[in-house]
Amino acid sequence: MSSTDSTLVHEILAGDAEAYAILVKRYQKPIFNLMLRMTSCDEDAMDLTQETFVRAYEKLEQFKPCSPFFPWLYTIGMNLARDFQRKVRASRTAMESLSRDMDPLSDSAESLSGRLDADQVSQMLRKLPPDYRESLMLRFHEGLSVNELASALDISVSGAKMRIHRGLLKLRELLGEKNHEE
Amino acid sequence: MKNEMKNGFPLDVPEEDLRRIAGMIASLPDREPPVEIIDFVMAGIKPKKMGRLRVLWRRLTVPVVFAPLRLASVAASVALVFLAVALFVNRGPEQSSTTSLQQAVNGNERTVVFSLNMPGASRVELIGSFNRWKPGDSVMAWDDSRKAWVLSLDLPKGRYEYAYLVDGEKVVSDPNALMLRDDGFGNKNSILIVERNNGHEAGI
Repeated sequence: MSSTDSTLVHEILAGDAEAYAILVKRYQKPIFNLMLRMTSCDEDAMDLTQETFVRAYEKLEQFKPCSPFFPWLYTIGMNLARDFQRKVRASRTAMESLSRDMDPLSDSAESLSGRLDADQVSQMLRKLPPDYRESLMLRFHEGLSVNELASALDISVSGAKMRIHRGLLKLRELLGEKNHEE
Repeated sequence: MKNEMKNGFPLDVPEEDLRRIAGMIASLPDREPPVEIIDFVMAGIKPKKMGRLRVLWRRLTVPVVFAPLRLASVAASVALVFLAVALFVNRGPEQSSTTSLQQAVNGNERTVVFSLNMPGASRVELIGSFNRWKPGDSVMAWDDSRKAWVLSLDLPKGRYEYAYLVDGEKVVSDPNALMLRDDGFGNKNSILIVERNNGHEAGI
């Protein structure tokens, strides 16, 4: 039987550094994919993934064993990715202008027409502002509860619901535009 | 602003659309992370030392049982340690082990020089994850100028575990290794990380 996250954290804090390799193996995939979405660059994604795990290890004493490990780790990753994006100002500006151009509640009640495939969704997700995109990914791709999502993004539960709501609307709008163009 | 939700979806747009989108998000393919991430992370951390508060907390929470026999065993252990130290001091030159990374051989591999100072041994072999722990594959040669058993290996980047097999029976770990790991059979494996950056001694 595999060890639980909290058992592993306990062992690591007691001096067994090797136990951390299990946590890294367990969560490197979602963190690496988070970084790919945030940077669109393999090298940067790899560096940020490593940094996330090293930073989490350094802060492990602050982790509350009664809470889930992954949202806590994700918060660290998100903060690092945001810092990285601040340095890459061009991409941030692009995100902001996209965000301004879109009215989140200007949807119509018409149903999405045309085909919808994974490539389209993936492509349009990249156009969403990171906060909305990651809310949708955490909720629907990683399967976190709204409470865990709120914890991972360091926002209130109502704020998390709002992000899911707006994120879905924005994505639907982008996909509608894409289909309309085609 | 409308923010009514049903089953996690907004009410003011066709639920079918949003369910489809959520379903597509759920089934988006993930990229596999590069295999070396674990190695690089593990190379960047050190075992944690328990802080005073944590040690105090453990002392308070873990019950201590007074057992005179335990004291006797402690005394015996101390005596054994003294005996071992005395034997060790009289044994002659101190055993030491070094492992050093040298210049890159090509883009992917680096030369690792393993060195074990054990003049009393008649045969020393290097066993590890790089040779599937197979004795005989990496026999070390005595280098009189270094007064040590030496072997060079070209290894690609990655994380390796290794140990020295002395005279075909005694497994000796590298005391200077970055980390040691219990092999589950009473021995300690040494951990070696060969990093991607070309450089001097980084990585061990």
